[in-house]
Amino acid sequence: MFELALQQVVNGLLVGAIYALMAMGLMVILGILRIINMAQGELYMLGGYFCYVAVVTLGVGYFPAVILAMIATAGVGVIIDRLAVRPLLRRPFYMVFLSTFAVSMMLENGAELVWGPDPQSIPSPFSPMPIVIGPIFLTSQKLFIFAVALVMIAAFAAFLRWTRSGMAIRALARDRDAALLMGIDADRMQSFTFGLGSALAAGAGALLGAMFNVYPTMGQLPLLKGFALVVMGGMGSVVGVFVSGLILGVAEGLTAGFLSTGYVDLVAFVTMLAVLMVHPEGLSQWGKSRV
Amino acid sequence: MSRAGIWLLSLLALALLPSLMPNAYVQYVINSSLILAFATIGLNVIFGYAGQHAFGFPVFFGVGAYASALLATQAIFPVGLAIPFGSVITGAVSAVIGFFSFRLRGIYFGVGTIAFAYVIYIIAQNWVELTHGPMGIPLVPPLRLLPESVGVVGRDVQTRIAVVSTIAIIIFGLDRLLHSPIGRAWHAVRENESLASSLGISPLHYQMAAFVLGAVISGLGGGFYAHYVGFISPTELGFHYIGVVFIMLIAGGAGTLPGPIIGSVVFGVLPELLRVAETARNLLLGLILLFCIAVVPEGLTGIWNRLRPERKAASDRPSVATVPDVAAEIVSPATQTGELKLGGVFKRFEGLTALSDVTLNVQPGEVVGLIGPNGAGKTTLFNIITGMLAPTGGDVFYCNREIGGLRPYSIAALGVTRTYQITSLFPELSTQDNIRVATHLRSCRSVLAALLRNKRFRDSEAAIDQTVDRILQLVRLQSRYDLPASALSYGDQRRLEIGLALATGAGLILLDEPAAGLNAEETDELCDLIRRLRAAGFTIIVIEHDMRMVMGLCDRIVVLSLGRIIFDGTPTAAAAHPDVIEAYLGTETADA
Repeated sequence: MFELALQQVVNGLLVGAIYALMAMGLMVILGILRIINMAQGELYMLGGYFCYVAVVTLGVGYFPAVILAMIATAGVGVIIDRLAVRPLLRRPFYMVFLSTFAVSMMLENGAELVWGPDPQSIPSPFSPMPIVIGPIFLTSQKLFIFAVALVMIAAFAAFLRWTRSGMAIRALARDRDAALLMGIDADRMQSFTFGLGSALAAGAGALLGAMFNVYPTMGQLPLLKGFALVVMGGMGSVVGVFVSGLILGVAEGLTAGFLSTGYVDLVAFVTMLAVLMVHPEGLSQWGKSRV
Repeated sequence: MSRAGIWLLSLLALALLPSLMPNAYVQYVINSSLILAFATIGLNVIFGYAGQHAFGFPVFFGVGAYASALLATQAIFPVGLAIPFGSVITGAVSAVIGFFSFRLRGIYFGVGTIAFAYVIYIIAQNWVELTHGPMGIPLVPPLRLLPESVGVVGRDVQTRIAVVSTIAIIIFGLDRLLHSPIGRAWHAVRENESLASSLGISPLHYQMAAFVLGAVISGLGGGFYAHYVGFISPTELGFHYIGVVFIMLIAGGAGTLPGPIIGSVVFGVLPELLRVAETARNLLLGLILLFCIAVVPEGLTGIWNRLRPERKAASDRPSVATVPDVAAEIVSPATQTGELKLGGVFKRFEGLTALSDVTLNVQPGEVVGLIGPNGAGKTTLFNIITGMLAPTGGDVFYCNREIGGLRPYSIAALGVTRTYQITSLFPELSTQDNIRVATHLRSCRSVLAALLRNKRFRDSEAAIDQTVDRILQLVRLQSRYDLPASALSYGDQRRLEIGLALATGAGLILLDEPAAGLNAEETDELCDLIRRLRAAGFTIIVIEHDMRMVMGLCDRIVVLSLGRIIFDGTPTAAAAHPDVIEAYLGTETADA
């Protein structure tokens, strides 16, 4: 019993770190541009497929392939911003929701046309042999994913906190007009933000895709869970989103271990709805002060 | 041809023309699109009419499909009963979801409805005993209008006739609702929630009504779908469907009556015609949606409106005989005039005390000027009297009823309303329609009456027309009755705002800096209007910085400074009072 719980907690932490990585990408776009980017899940999916293409077709090693996938997906994100988001900024906000939804449908369908509907596996250099630490079974792949997710999130947090671009992003999030008056180039920062958010999503997709295969609809659930985390963790809080991600992962792991595997995906939404019922504006208030 | 005639002919054509198609698949595609029109019409009610961004809303189509299919297969309901009962169940589910979702605002409301939609999807996937999980419910019995022995009319035709006649009834009903106080209230809530509230329209009430009505309509379509296709699975609850319904609505024209139907038929049939539908369906739909957003954001019906020659505004209008003073006649029979009593009112914002111990009585028929330096708490006091803010302490009575802490629309219904410091109108509506929306509290608001157009309803609407005319005359906007409010001059807009307040039938009207930004002539006109209102028995409290105006107009002056009343008396006494002079001009210093 205890061993199972411990195993589920460890698995949960791992999945939670990936959720958090996905949510970071959403958060940086939602927090700054106040845009619901419905195509974020497909950027995650593209990250997985780009990594697959790099490894299988181009013969690149797995580790550089993850980096390549992130860069390529960042490019796609910038294009989406230019074509489907920027022209609509002066329109009602649901227009951007709809246009990114359209992009999401097209990308998903496009991936199906290019790579087929069946799941593809990304060959990775990890040994399938489990590492046994006391009662817990781990694979080196899981440990690697967890470590990389942590590094990416830490790098992202450090970037936001200490670099000039990070400061500009935070300034835009806080007060767009004032930031413009201070000479921040909002258009350039928006492209940059979109690229950054896309790269984070792609990183999550490439890491998890190697473990669970890649398929065209793989982005739907992470998108929705990412939203749930952004809402729960606070619109602009890296720490809040990260902690929420870990908690969600663990809660899901325990639900799967002890209650039902079918209803695992409910955990995120029920938790989010519960949080929203208590704080109808999300937890953004305490989040805002610590972007 | 009349509007009703065009509708009748188009619907007849929709019902009958597809029968000419020899191809059974084409018939199937057209029927499915027509059935999806229910989901689109339902979404239009909440998204187009009530203006709420309920992104997960199309899930109610699937909920209705499941409900009806389960009733027919598990509870052995006859199909003719299962469809309406399924729709009622959908309405009940939507009421629960709406209850929680409407606690959320803005983006969170949209995300919340998506989360609920996904919860429903997961339940359908996993509650295997009830829904058979991902396998779905097979063998849903078909809808038959005629007994099986009468085999002349095919099932496709029967379904289509049932579907199109139901759509016809729904459109007829919606048209009547839209041209009633209910439709006007939806417009008000969509365009300006806080103004709607101070005009006596409860936003939540009308948002919920639209949410449930839209779900009932969607659920009805879901029922038709389940019994037409004969199989229902979680796919019908998934995101693909949600996206498709949104595309149909936006591409057809949100907020219009024919838009959803046109959108559903065109975008249900078009991808099939293009024959790539099998594999690249979503790619195509996504492209169409992007194209629509970029080129025709107002939808296909918008193209029609663009092509149509500019509607000529009717220039002459039977105006009411000009009576010297119509102010008295616009007093609503329900208008209550009574004393406003504030006792020891406090308002604190996290450490900042905006109002402290404000005690104030205003007698019926008085014109009271509320003055004080910026930040004195004048607008906060207005917000408390009209319910925009709840007092931290103290009581507010109007006509001997406690109103402190009530919602703005309840307070408006008791006879207290306001205008805003920043012009607040419904910019797209014409001058007269602005006032008509504001007559909400005088109107006959029963859904049944609006649908039946009974005598009570017609009388009430006729009385409203008269009230609108009189108010137009009173605020001197008769000649501009057909102009959109956004096209009025600033001075006209400010008078129109007062017209809106009058239309509610309130006896106590709070004016927040009505003369700010007006020139001398416009200010005089405004003073004249306020005097006529006083003569008609209205009670008025006015915040104003124009001292000349305040001194000439008001019976009494109340001076607020730093959240306290420092003076309450006649204008002449105010001008001489040392505390007032100090608050306005500061203390004398050595260099003075």
